[in-house]
Amino acid sequence: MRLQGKVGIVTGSASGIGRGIALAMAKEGAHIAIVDVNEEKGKETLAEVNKFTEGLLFIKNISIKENADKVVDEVVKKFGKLDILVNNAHVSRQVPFVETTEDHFDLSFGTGFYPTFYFMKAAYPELKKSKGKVINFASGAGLDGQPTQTSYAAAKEAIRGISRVAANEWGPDGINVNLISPIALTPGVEQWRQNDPKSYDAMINKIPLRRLGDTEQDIGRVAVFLASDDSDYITGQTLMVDGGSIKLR
Amino acid sequence: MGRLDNKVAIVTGGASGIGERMVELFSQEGAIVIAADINEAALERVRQKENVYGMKLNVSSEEDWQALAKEVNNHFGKIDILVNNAGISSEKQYQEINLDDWGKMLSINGFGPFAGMKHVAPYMAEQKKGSIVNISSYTAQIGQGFNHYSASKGAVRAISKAAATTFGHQGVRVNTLFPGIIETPMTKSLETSKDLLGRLVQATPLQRLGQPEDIANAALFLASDESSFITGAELVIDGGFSAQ
Repeated sequence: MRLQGKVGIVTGSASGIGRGIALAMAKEGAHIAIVDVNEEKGKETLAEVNKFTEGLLFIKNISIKENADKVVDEVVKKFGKLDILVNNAHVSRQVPFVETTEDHFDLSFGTGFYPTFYFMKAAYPELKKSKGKVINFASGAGLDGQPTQTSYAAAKEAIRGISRVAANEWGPDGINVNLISPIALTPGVEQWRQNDPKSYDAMINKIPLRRLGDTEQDIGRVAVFLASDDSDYITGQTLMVDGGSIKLR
Repeated sequence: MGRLDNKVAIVTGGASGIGERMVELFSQEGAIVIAADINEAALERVRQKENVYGMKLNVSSEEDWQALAKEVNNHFGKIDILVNNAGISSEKQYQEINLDDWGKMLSINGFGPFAGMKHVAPYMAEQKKGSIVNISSYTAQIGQGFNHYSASKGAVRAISKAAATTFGHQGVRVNTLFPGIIETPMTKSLETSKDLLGRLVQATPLQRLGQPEDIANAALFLASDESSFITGAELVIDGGFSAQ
C-alpha cells in the first residue's frame, strides 16, 4: 500500500480521469474527497472508493472561491490532515479561434484555472504541514496548440505556469507540484468514437502505442506515483501520459 | 506482491552506484535482474544478492550486447526491461577536451544505449511488450556543462525520443530520466565539492541533493506496468533545480 493513511482531494472525480485517479489512490490506501457537480455519478464513485478506504463526497461548484476553503476545512476536520491535492476538473467548448468569445474563456478559466488556483491556495497551509503533493493537469491542446482549443489551451498553459511558480516557492516547504498531460478513454471520447469512428481511428493511428489510456490503470497509477514517496525529488515537471504522442520540449 | 513480479530486467552499470540501487530495488519488487557491468570485481558482489545475475558487459561492444541479449532471452525466455544506466563522467574543462576524449565519451554514453536498444528491443517486440529506461542528465536540458559529457547525454535524449517513435507500434516503451546532482561516492569525493555542493543545495527548490534512491524509484515506475501508457517521455529528477 503505497498511499496508506494518506488523505487526498480529487476535483472532477465523479467520472472519467478523476474517477480513475480516485480509485487508483483508494486502492493504495488513501482516503479520498470526491469533488464534483454530478451527484449521481459522484455517489457511484464514492461507493467504489468506500470499498477500499473512506471517501467523502462534495457536490460543489468549484468556480466559487469559498468552496475550496470549505472542502479543505471539512477534509481536515474529518481526517486531521491533507496530503494530496489533484486538480483535475475542467470544462471548455471547442470552437474555431475567430469564433472564440470571452464567454468561452470565462468557462474554461472559471472551471479549470481558477479552481486550481483556489484549491492550491486553500490547501497550502495543510500541505506545508504534511509535506504534501499537488498534481495538476496539462493538455496536448496547450502543448501542441490543437485547433479549436483556444480557451482550453490558454487555461491549461496558465495552469502549467502557476504550477512551476508554486514548485519553486513551495519547494523549501517540502511540497511537490507536478502535472500530468494525459490522453484517456473518457466517456466524452467514447461518445466521439461512436459519433465519428473515422476520425477516431485516425487519431489512434497517430499515437505511437496505438491506444488510448485507461483512466485508472494508466492515468490513475501515474497519479499514485506522483502522490507517493517514490517521486519525492521530482517537482515542477510535466509528465506526458499520452502513449508517446507528444515528446515534450 | 511486487511491482515487477515475473519480469526479466537488464540494468547496465548495475554493479555499483545508482545502478546497484536499481538492481536491489527491482529484485525486491519481484524481478529477475541481470546486472550488466564492465567491473568484474563489483559484479562478484552483486551476484550475492537474491534473484540477481551478474554478467560482464562492455556497453560500447556490439558483440557483447548481442551475446548478452541472446543469453538472457534464451535462459529466461524473454526480456521485459532494459535500463541503460552505465556511463562515464569527466572533470576535464573544455580547454583540455580533444577528439579522443570526445570519441571515448560518446562511444560509452551515446553508442552504449543505442546498441542496447538495437539488440534488446527486437526481443521485447517478440512479446509485443517491453520497457526501456535511458538515463540522460539535467545538463542535456539547460545551459550547463560545455563538454563531451553533456553532448553524450544530449545524444541519449535525442535517440530515446526517436526510439519511442520507432518501437511504439511494437509495444516497446522508451522513456528517459534526467537526474540532477545525485549524492554518490563520486560526487562526495570531488575536490571542490563542499563549497559547490552547498551552493547547489541552496539553489534547489527542494533544498537537498538527489539520492540514488530517487532515481531508482523513478526507474522502477517507468519499468513497471504502472507507466504502461507513457512512452517518449522525459522525467526530470532534480528537486526542481532546472524548473527555475
